[in-house]
Amino acid sequence: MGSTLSALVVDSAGGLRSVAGTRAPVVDLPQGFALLPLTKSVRVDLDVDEPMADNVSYLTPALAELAKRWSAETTIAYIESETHGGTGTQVAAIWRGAEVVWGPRYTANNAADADETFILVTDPSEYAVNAALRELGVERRDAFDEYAALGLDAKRSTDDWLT
Amino acid sequence: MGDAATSELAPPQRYVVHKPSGDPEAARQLAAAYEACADALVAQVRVATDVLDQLGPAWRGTGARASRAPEQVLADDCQRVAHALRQSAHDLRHYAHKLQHAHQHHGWSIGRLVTLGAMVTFGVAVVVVTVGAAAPAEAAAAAAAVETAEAASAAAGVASTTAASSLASWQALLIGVRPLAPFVVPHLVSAGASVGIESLSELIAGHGLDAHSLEVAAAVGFAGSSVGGAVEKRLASAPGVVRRLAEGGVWAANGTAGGYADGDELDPVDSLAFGLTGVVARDVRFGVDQARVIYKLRVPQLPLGFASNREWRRFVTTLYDGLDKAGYRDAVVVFRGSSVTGSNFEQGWPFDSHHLSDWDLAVVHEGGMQRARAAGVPYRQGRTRTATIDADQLHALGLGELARLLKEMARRDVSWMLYKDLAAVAQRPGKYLVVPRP
Repeated sequence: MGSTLSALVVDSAGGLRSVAGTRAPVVDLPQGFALLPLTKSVRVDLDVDEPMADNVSYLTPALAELAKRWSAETTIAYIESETHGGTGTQVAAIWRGAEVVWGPRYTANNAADADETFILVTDPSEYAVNAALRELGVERRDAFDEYAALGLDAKRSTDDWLT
Repeated sequence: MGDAATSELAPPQRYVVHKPSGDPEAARQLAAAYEACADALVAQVRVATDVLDQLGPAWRGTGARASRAPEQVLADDCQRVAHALRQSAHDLRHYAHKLQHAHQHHGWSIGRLVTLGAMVTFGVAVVVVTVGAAAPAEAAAAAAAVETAEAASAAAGVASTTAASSLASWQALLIGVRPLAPFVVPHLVSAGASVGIESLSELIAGHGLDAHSLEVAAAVGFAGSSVGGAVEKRLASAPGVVRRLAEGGVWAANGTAGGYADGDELDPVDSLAFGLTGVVARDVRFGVDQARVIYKLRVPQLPLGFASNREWRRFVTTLYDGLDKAGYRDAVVVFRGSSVTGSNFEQGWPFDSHHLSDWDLAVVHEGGMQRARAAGVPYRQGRTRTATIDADQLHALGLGELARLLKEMARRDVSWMLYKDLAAVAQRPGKYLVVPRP
C-alpha cells in the first residue's frame, strides 16, 4: 500500500480551531481529536511553505516554529508518514507549553530505509506516529494501532483529507 | 552516246529515314534497378517469414492462425511481382541492345550514303536523304543503306514496344497485389529518378508506356500505408507524370516513402506489417502488431488487480508512453507491494480483501530524482529513493495527467515513488516485478 500523510494533530477540535483560525480545514477525528492536513495550499496559507532544509522531512523550521507558538495554548503533535508497498518511514514530534516535549522521532519499518536519520523499528506500536499519538492520549482500543484508532488509515494521501 | 549514258543512270531518289530515339544506357540502368528491387522484395519476404517462424509457440490463437493464409499469399504475390520485375529488366536490356544496334546501323548507313554522294538533311525525328542521278550499282547501294537504317530503327521500335508492354503488364499486376506496392513503388520511383527524368520521360511518352497505370499503381500502392495520405496529396497536386516521378524520387531521397521501405533501422516485424499493409492483410498486420506487444510485455504473473492480459498491456503501454512524453525516456517501472506479494506488509491481509488495494509503482530514473528534489519531495533510503510522491508533486514533475489517467484506468489508487536505480528497489523487502517496455 502507498500512502503519505503530513499533519498536525491536537487532542481537541476546539483547541485546534482556536489557534489555527476558523478558516483552517480542521478535520474531526475519533476520541475528540482533530487533524489539520498540511497540504501545499494549507502550508501556503499558514506561511510555512518553505524548502526543506534537510531534504528528509516536511517538518521545516517554519512549521516547527508555528507548532511551538500554537503549543502555548494546546498540546500539538506533528505526524508524517509515507509508505510504498507497505514499507516506509515516519516522523513525529510533540510541543507543549511552547517547547518540544517529545521527539522528533524518525523511524523506518524496514532495514533498507534505516540510515543515519531513521532508526529501524519492527514493532508497530513503536513507530514514530503511533508512539506520538499514544503520548498525546490516543487509545488504541480494538484497532490495529493508534493510527488506525483515529481512522488515519482511511485516506491514502494528505490531499484526500480535503476532499 | 549521250542517250546510252543517260540510260545507264538511275533517276534521283529521296528517302526519309526515321531516326532511332532513346538512350540505351538509361534503359540498362532502369533494368538494373528493377532487378535490385526484385532481389530486395524476395529478401524482405524471407525476413518476414523467418520472423513469423521465430515467434513459434509464443504466438498462439486467432491472430497466429489467421496469419498463415495471408502469409502464403504474400509469398506467392512476391514471387509473381519479382518474376515480372525480372522479365521487365530482361525486356529493357533487350530494348537497350536493339536501340544501340539501331544507333550504330543508322550511323553507319548515313555515313555510307554520304560517301555515295547523297545529300543528307538532319531533322528532329527524321533524316532526309537525296541521292542524285547515279549509276544503277550506286543507286542500289544507296537504297540498301537506307533500308538497313530503316530496319535498325524499326527493330529498336519493336524492342521498345515490347519493353513498354512488359512495364505496363507488371504495373497492372502490381495493382492486383497492392499490399506489395508500398514496398515496390518507392524503389522504382527512386530508380526512375536516378536514371534521369529526361530519359524516363522519353521512355514513357515515346513508347506507349501506360502513364495512367503507373499513376494508379502508385496511388493504390501508397493508399493505406503510413505515408499514403501525404503522397496522395502530392500526387493530386502535381499535373504531370514526369513531375510526379520526379517528386517521387525526391520523397525517396528524403527518406519518407522510399526511406521507410529502404531503411535498415526498421524492426523486421514492422517490415512485415508494412509489406502486409492493404485490404487483404489488414487483420494480419493487426495480429502481428499485437503479437509483438504480447511477446515484449510477457511477465511470469500479472500483478493482482489486472483482469486480463489485454488490460495489462493497455496499462503498461499508456504508462511508458506517458513517461516518455513527460521526459522520463529511459525510465524503468517496477510494481511493488501487495499486488505482487499477494498480501499487505503490515497486517497480511490478502490483496483487495480488507479494502480496495492500490498499485505501487516504483519509477527508476536518476534524472527524475533530481527533478523530485526541485519539486520538494524528500529523499529516503540514503538518498536512493524519494518519499512517496503526492498529487501536487506529481503535477510539478509533469506526471499529474498520467497519474490521473492511470488511476482512472486502474479504478484504484496508484502510488508513485522515484528510485535512483534498480539496486535500490531490490534492497527493499518483498517481491517486485520489473515492467517490460513495449
